[in-house]
Amino acid sequence: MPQQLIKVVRPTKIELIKLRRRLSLATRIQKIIKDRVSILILEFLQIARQTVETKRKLLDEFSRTYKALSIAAGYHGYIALEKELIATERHLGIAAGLRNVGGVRIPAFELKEAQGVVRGYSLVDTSSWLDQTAQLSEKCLETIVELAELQRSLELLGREISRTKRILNALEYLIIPGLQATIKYLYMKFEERDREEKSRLKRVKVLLERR
Amino acid sequence: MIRIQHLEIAVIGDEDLVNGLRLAGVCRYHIIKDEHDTGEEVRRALTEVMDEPNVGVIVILEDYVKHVEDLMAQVKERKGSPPVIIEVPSKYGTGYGDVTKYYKAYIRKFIGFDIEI
Repeated sequence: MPQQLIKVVRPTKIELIKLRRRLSLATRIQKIIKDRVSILILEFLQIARQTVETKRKLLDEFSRTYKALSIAAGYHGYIALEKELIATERHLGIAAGLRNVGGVRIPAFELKEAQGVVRGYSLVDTSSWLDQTAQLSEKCLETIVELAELQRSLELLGREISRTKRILNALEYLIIPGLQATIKYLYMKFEERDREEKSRLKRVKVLLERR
Repeated sequence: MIRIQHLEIAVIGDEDLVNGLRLAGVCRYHIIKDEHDTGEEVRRALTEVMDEPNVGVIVILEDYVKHVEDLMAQVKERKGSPPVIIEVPSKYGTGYGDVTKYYKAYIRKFIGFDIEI
């Protein structure tokens, strides 16, 4: 495929200098973007690995929690459990900040304990099954928050990678070859002009000698 | 400067999931009762939750995801910091067989080649 020439207003030395400047800038940017993509991919893979691990952990923890919960529910009965549950509800929150990875802002979540570790239900009325269940489900919640952070980061990084890759490809396959081809074209134009000039001079010389 | 927001966790699930997470202290939840029209109810709950600015994480039961896939995609496309939707398994176990396979496909989509995790 012939390279697309970049439109030049007229073939002059000034244009050539401008083009050469653009070329060097483009190569420099290409290098920087290449580095950036590799950093992003590294980070992406690391987060992907963590996500898989966390997801596995989550599945594991949930199966344990469900087991414990069904035992607790069986022991206390649903109505008594409901009574205790109303008491355990608290204003649970996450603190969300932002982290910067390779120019991408990714969120960082952290579970915030609103009232310390005291659970709301009455300790007199309940069994250790409920305690255990509560412990397990708290762990589940922690894992959920962790997974939320990782999953969101994965999405954002993935999107950024494909965006940056598109820019990189455009530079590598379109802009830089185009600039190179145009510079070459200009050089040829100049040589052509030189030759024309020379033959014109010769012609003039012959004409002068004939007089 | 780091701006720290305070967000909440919302749960959409069946009675068991909600009970379990309430025990951990979650106070925003929607219980989906099985005898009603599940899809419709899940949609309603998710729409309500996802438009609230101070909900940061939405926990949803895996079985309900098939009813609201379009809504979830819509949330993901939003600008800024939209809520993150986390799917959790039901008490009958998870529907996704292998976690690794799911994420591998995901990575392939962005990077373009397979990677061992």
